[in-house]
Amino acid sequence: MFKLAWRNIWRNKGRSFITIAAVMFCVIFAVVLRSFQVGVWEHMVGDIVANNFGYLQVHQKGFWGDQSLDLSMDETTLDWDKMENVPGVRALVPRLESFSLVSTGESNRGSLVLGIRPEEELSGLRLTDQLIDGRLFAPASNEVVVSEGLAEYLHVAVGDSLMFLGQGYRGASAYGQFMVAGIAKISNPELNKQLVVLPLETAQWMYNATGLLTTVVVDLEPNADFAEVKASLEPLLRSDFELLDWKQLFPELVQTIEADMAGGQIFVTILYFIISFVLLGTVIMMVSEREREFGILVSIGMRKTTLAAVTVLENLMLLVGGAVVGMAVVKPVQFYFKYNPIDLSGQMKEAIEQFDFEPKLYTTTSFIINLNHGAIVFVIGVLVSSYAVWKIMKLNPVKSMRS
Amino acid sequence: MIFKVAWRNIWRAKVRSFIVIGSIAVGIWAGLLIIGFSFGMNNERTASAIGTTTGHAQIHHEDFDAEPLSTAVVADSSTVVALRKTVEALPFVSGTAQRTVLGGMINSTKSARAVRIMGIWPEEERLQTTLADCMVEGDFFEASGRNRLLIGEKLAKRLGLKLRSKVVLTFQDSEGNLSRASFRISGIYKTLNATWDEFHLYVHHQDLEKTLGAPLVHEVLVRFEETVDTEEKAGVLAAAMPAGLAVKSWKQVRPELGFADDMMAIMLVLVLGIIMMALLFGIINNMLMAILERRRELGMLMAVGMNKRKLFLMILVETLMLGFVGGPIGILLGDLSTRAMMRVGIDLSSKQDGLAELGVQSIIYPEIVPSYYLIIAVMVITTALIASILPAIKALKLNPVEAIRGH
Amino acid sequence: MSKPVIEVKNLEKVYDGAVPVHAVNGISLSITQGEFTALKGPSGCGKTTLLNMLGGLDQPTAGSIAIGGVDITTLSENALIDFRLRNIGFVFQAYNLIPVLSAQENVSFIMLLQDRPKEEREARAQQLLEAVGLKGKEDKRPGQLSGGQQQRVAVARALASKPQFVLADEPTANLDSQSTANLLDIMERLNKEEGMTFVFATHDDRVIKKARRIISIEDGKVLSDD
Repeated sequence: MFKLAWRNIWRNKGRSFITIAAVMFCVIFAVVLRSFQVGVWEHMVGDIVANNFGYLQVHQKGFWGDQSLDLSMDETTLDWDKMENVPGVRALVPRLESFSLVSTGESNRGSLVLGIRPEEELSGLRLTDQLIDGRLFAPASNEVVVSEGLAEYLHVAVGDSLMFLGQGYRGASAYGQFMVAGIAKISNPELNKQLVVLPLETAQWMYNATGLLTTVVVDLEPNADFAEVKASLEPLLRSDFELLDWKQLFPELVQTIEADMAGGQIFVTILYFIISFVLLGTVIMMVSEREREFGILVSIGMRKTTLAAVTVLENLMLLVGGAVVGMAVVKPVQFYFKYNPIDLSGQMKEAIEQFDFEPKLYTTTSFIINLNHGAIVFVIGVLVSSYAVWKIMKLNPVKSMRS
Repeated sequence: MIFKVAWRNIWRAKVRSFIVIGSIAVGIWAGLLIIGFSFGMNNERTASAIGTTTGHAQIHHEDFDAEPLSTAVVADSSTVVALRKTVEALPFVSGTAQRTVLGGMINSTKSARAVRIMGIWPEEERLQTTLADCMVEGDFFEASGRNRLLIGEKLAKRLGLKLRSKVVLTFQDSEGNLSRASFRISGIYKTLNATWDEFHLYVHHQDLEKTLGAPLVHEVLVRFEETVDTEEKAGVLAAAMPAGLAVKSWKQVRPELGFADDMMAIMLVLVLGIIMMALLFGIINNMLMAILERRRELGMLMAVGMNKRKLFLMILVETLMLGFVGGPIGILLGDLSTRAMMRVGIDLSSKQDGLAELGVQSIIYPEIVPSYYLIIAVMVITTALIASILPAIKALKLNPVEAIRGH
Repeated sequence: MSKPVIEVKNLEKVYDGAVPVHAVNGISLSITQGEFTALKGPSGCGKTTLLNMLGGLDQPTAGSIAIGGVDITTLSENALIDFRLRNIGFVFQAYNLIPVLSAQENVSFIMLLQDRPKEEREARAQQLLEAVGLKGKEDKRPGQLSGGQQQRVAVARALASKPQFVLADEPTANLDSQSTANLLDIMERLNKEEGMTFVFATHDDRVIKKARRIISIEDGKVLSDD
């Protein structure tokens, strides 16, 4: 039966070509669009989440909502060993985060102040890779690293001193004077505009929060599932702690992603709908072309169901074949742009950066997109073939042989 | 008569023609909906930004962006009055409002954030922006009192602040010294743009002057009569300004809005183009089949003496006819459905917060954009023209003798 | 009246192949105005090929064909199409008409191709349809006419362009005897009254009986000519 279907495809090269071309066009476009969409969001999530904020964070209950230093955790109340041993956990990253007015005397800006241990940090905050000037601060020193955007705004360079003015633990005032050891370009544009990083111990001292942490970031192994790890970690934490995953940390981000994806999906659906019309057209064409032949076959004894099956098979082979070829064509494109994203420039670049997005277009190499679209084409193929099946079942052999 | 022939030929194969015409109509319908939706979204976002926060143009000291904010004033208070009179004298300007703009920090009992403090003149502000209509709680400086503060809903939530909560604002005075002052939240506002709400506080200018001394005007907001040709008008405005002052149109103040408009136009043309390409397949397919079916007739015509140009024309006209039927149907469907949805709106409130980050409201009212009807018509015609080429070539290649015999 | 409408000299048509086929193998003849001539012969004898070349639908490998003094073998493709339009009328075995046009419109159409003005087209179409006995059926489409009636419309159409002669390729093959008789009568009348030259390719005896000159073709050569 396969052979029959296969040979039939070659009989009318023109029609087969148009069918395949139409399917390929649709699939290529849909897959490329979705790849870029998903790719950009994947990258952004990866950037925000994997590199800077982590997939999971542990806080004192209520900290994330209030962002208040008063809701900090005592280092010793966490079961570090047990938590680190949970499968999927690569490392636990301690941080003290707060807000302070950072001043040079002439200019000032409210900034996020992050006390960290760089060697234990997520890749986005290791700093050694992100430094564009100067060096990393010495541990437990009075030195800080300033983000690029903030340094520009305040007009500070390596060697300058900064004053910090803020509120410490339980209302104590927090102030200090520090020297800029280095300037770093943080990958996340929003952070890049307003971040100061200093040694964890120094931050704890300044904020009168010795031994306290606001955040423990859970760094995951590359292929770990954050939901599973979350479930395993929860029982290890005291009831007055909260364990939040990235979707809970950034709900607006999730919504923005979903809104954007929805837009893309709608458009792709419309496109598939239109192409379905085209494909239906080719099926109708085929059926009327072969009416005589069908009549002959049925009268010499071929069962209608067999004939229908061969026809459906032929259509599916064409459509799915076209889809597969289309996706194969797209694969290298997907791979290329994943590692060599399109750099947006000019006005577009500025505008996108306003939204705190990185102005680059990435793709994804996820197979799920391919499967999705392959399935869509398959379903369309079945639906469209049903016209042929219906016609075959209705066939009156004598009449059709006369046509 | 070629038109007659073309027209009647379409109806020869009813099912097939209906499918092609149907696909054209659906494609255009979808395209129009996308257009209406995009315009509705963008225009509302822009109108909101202009109306509530940005105005059509802004005047600053030329160093306003680069320098620490406090010292880059437009002019001293008396000069500002004269300046505003000059601006308001321009025929296209409907009004101006002045503001003090300072960068600083807000401290609640729990937390702190960097903010931009806007010292406004409430009566003027009321006339020039719709900020007063955005109040969710409290009032717009109506009740008397001192050190009152309007805070964006998003920021209030973040910092755990409510109406009448006390906060401390830290900012630089005119000499560059850091000052702190206690304020009480007298109102909570919400614009369509959550990012704006998270960063901007509004205070009564008098409450800042206590610390600053004299009123400092960093920004003059200008409103035009109409949101038309705003770039040119901003240019005229700039020419009327003395040296040392810079004028920015709303597009320059909020480049992401202008960008969104430009991007949208490009995107829509692309969307339509892609839809047309999809339709191209269908039309070509249909016409190829028609030619195949009519081989004998075409052969006869060629034998009898129909020259190549006329034959090509016949096929071209028939292809165009498909567009002339499908096109208006699609446009009609698109127009009617957009009108229907204009009243109801498309509800996206489930994605409300994400959209608010981008300054987009959660219920979108699509718009009718008549200029695109013409664009679509042109595109359909072009697509039909392109689609007719392949079938016409096939037809012309027919050998009359063989065609008539039915090979 | 003895001016040759068609003058054929040493016509040859060879098809390439493993063994070259001489479909037409050296035919010379001439047909004068007012003839009612049949080309007769068994299938594969070359009469169809000959007819096609006379009609300018096929190019000979050698020899010349002059119609009204014009050697059509030298004409370019576009010129040939135009020549056919203005000088040759065709009646085929079937599929003569445009199915979506009425009889009147079909006859008008060919005049439209010649860019003749509307009044002339309408008047002449009316007149010709009457002449072939189809008065009252002008608005019917081919699908609504019988086989014989369709062929009569074809004749009217062929004459509409005021050709030098009419070529008819097996015009009666699909018709019953009554319709054949009617058709032939009409063609004969037109031949006698209007002086229109008719050349048939046929193996239908009824046509051959009516013809005044019979050219027998066999194996690409003229066998007899009377």
